Amino acid sequence: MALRIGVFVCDCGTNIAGFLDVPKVCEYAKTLPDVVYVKENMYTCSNAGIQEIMDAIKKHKLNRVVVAACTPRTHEALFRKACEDAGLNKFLFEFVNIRDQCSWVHQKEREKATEKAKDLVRMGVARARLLEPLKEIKIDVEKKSLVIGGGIAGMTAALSLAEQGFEVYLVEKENRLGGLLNYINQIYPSDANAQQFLEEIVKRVEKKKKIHVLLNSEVESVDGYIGNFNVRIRQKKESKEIKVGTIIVAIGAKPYEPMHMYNYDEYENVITQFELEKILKEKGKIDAESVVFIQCVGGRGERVRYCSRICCMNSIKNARIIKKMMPNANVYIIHKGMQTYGTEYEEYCRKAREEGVRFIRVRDAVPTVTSLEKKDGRIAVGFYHPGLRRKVEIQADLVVLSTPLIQREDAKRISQMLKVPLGQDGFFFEAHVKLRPVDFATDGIYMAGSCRAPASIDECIMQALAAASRAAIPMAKGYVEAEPLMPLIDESKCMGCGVCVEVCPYGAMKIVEKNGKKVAENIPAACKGCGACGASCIHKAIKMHHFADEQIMAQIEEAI
Amino acid sequence: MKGVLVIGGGVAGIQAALDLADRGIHVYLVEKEPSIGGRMALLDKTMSTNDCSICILAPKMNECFSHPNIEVLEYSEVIGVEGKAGNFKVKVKRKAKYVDATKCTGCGDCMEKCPTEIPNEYNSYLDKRKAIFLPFPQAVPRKATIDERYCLKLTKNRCGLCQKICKAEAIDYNQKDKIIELNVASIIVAIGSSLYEPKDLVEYGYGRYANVHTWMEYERLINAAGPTHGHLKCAPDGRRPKKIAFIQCVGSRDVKRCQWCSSVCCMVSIKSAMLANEHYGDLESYIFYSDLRVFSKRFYEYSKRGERDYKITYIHARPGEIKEDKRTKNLIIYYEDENEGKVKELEVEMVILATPIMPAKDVKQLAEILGIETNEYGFIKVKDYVFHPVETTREGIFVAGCCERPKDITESVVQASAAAAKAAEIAGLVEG
Amino acid sequence: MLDKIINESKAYYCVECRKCSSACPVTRVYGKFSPASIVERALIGIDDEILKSLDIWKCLSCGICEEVCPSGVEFLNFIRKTRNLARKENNVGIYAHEGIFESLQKLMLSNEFNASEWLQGLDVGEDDTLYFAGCLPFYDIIFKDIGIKSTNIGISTIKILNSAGIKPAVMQLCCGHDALWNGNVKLFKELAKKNVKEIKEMKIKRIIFSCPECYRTFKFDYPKLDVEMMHISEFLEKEEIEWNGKEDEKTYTYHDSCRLGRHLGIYDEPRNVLKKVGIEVKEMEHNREMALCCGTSAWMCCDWKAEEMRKERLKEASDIADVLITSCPKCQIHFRCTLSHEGHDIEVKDFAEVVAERIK
Repeated sequence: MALRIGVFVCDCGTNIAGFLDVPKVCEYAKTLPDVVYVKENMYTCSNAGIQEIMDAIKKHKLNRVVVAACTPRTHEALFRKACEDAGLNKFLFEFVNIRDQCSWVHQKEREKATEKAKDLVRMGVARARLLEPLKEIKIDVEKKSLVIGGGIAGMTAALSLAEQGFEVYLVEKENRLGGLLNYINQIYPSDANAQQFLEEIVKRVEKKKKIHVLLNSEVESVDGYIGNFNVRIRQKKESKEIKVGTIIVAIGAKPYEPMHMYNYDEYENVITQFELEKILKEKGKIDAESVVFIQCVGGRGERVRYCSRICCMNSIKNARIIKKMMPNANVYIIHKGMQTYGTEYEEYCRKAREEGVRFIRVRDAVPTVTSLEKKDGRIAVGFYHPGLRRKVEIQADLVVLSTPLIQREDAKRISQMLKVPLGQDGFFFEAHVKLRPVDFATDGIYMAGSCRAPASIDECIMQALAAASRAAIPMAKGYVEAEPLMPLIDESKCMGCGVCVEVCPYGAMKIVEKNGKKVAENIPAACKGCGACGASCIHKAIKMHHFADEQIMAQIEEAI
Repeated sequence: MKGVLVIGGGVAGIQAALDLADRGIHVYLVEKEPSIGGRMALLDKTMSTNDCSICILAPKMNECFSHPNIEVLEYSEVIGVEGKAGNFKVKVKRKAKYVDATKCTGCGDCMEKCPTEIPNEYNSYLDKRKAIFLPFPQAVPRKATIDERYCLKLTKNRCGLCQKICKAEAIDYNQKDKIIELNVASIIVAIGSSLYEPKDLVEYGYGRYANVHTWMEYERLINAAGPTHGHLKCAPDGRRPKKIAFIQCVGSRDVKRCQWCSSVCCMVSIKSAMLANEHYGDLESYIFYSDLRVFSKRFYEYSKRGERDYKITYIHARPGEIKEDKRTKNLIIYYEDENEGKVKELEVEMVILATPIMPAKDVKQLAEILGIETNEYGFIKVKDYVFHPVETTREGIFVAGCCERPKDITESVVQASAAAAKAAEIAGLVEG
Repeated sequence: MLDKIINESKAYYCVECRKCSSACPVTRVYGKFSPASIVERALIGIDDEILKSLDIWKCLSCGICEEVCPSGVEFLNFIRKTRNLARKENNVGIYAHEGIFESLQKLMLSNEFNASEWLQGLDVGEDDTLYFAGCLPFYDIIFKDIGIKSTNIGISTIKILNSAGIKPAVMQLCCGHDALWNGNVKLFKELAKKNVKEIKEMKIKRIIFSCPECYRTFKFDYPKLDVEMMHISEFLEKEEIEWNGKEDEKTYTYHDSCRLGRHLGIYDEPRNVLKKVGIEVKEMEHNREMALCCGTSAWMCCDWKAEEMRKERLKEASDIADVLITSCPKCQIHFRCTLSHEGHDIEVKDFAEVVAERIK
């Protein structure tokens, strides 16, 4: 069929027309090959402008539409819809940006701006000639979710999803639910009893018919994509397969063990925060007249680089408990700047001060204290006091080392299995730190809790609910739609080398065997059309839909 | 199925609305300003990622506005709520914009011609805007609004220039406020916050010294779309600074003012110092802090990077006083240098005060309308800080973002999604 | 040892931000003294160092530390109680003027003590209003060499009261302020007891003060007296007073004394009253809450540091004004002392003196 291209050039009031000669651009557009209709609009996006596009498509039998206007960022969807409403496939529309990229940046160069606009229109028309109609893809989503990890984050996510009506498989590798919470005595900042809370939430989880709790279990393998993950779970010696639409990773973290640091393995009265927590939970008392908490042991550049976020509050919590039990005991927290952010945490810290817990700030340098010396059964804790500008010693009967949370051993395995990344710090890496904090870049997989970064119980709960919301979206809809921008693989050229699988950030490429040959295959549901695979294919076996080489090259040729 | 009402169109409100709409729940998004976007739309860069704030938010704003399941009610306020979880009847006042949104194309001709200039709240009052205006260039919807408090036509029946100039014939001086009624299953409150104005900390001279600014003012000063087009300029001669200082906890962690830690300011200052150095490679920054709060993912590493690569010096001290050199308008900061054990003076050309996030100005009023409680700090109270972090004291009403307590974008987004999950649970029940 | 004081003064709230020290006028000129470091020592239990140190006597109790402290630490309370404790350990501090004032205070406990000559010819009586003049007459004697006439403040105050139709009863006895801040709680209690006893016998309804120290001490440190108490500026603010129209070419500035200002929160009243009598106060760079100190309090540690502070304050004043109005007799003495050997072109006058001259 012969090409019939319509070009619409927008004045955008004076935003464009004020800085370049729109009529000239229109006249020029008329001279371009295959252009059969050109129209200048005061506002192409106004109701009148949209109507003009639709009328022209019908009247002039246009089969390509080019709009030269503001920016596709805000307006592409609108013009595409106009095409669709007039019976033209929306992928036959091309946007030329002559506001953001032309009139706005060349406000004092009318002549040159006009010339540049002409160039841009010519490039757009060149690409439009080669555009092909495409169809959007719709993929069904299994309305079941897999939650890996039965700690507080995993349980909360499972409960919320079940509450929203979805079936959940909650996989826990230990023989009981609860994760680290099993070892916790009290929850800050409300000082609620951790075990009581745990008991209640486990009961709620167990009572929910929609939640299938799988204890002593591990996820063995996962393949598939959003909406259709095939998961193999091993429970003791048995192995079973389930199909889920979404996956939430909530495997938690573990406390760092400070071996060969701060005399931890030499003195029995040097213990970790985690050990103190267990003692307080099980015995409910300690025997010491003077307790010193040392913050950032192993954290903030000592063994791991990051700040573990929760240790300051943990120390305050336990210091307060000790002070309450033994009002005459001296309790010190040696820190590098207390991280008691927000309303309640700051108040919690003030209360601790009121109750007699003493805070000593030292410099943000490694190590936190410079000496631990055993003398007559007590330990002299020595450190440089920046305010007094000299070394100070404090006598302690018990020294508590606040160590960071670090990633669990199986994080790496799960990362590889799900093809989702870990960050430099060993924690799972989100799609975008700010705007997609509980999503992985791969669709259909989410995270919550301390496997993302150290998080307190309240933060674990919040993230778990957030992950539940995110995971519920495709499941509630029942399908996902993908723009057909995925790669087209020429199997005769493909060597099955797997480079595209490596570079794909969304896990949307895999190697399969077809007719006895290994070839790449695209998973449209997971694909974002970024083109990394196409660019990396040295055999030129991958062509990108809608951003095909010839389309781009045509534009470039016009430009030069 | 009944929809959900989201009050507040900042990043938290937008996120909650999108989460719900994407799964097929109808959402009404009520925003009191003429554009959605909230505070994040006015920030220059986001801390820890140094993303252009509006650039990463604008797509979400547009997505929100064009989403088939979201009805954005901008320039509107909730004025009444009745009913209970699963069946709220909400009255919303749509304030008259005196501009027909179906006709307005956002071209800006009217704003050019409007003769009335007023202090621009969207640029922290550092410059002027017109009485007919867009809050900022990337406003969504991109439709003009007439500020009835200042418009000459509306106040004195003079002028009328905008009507004459508007080719789209969108100006309608006779528009009236409209009250509409919505029926929703649940409500999410995400009205954001206000910021402390540090005038009463006389020792820092805010309001008296030309080169002392708050962090929000700085966000606009360093922003290319701001009043100085992103150039830092110092009084009296407009020269660009070579040394600037940031003072943390100005009004926060303060028993006489805001007791709480504002959570974000340490990172905001580090980011701001980085940006300044990115603009001017020889610029040095000094951050005066009492506890540098860099607790979230990759924050601590970020603070170290600032020190290493961006000429930032961290000084552990809250300065006791700032003096102004009357001639140069430079600022002399008095602080106790703990390394030397004496009070030292540091002369800089600009000082940025890290003022805390406070409860929104209208939070009490809205809380009363909604029948929910605020806490001892004036933020919206949650049912339980740990176990029910998004539930307000009234069933079916949830909360997200800085109106609950100070938090950064990440945490606002997390809480927004969490609130969406809870709101969906109720909407789901109504459906069932 | 200091634990109790830490609790009573809320020093435990200290977050070690050191804002107090950078605002402290003493630390500014003498870095070795640092309120933050004193509190930090106490918080890690190095009590001995504090109690044996002369540093604790260097504090002016001017209160700027409390003004700027974000955490609500009551440093003045802390230092006062610590001084009392130190005294018991034989650390008695550094008295100015060879400790003559403590001797005077002790003398005043005896009933024979009398210095009321200055009242002769004044219209005072047995009204239900008492003017508590404090130690004024004694300063005239001790500081004669620098031309001090503190009784002028008293005379002016009485004249002001007369013009409002009040013939006040007058008491002149040390309130105990200095003893209290010197850590001599025993002496303070004796003086307070004597004052309270006498006042109770007088059956008065109202006490007016011209000395901010007396007012502060009565208000905060005395057992509750069932009478109304006010500073002369508070009294005048409520009165309908009129300016006699007397004009001069001079410009005036006002020095907030630490007791009247930061301790008692009285900033507007004196300014408002001065306005009523035709004086437009020009503000110094440091005013109201941030006002600088006259350099010495409770007759302790008057040395080069104090002199530095005074010079700075006098410079601020003389830069903008011809007359520096003070509201505390001690501020006046200290400034005049410096003026007696340093060239600053400024006159120092008390608030009551200025008002008495200009009132109808």
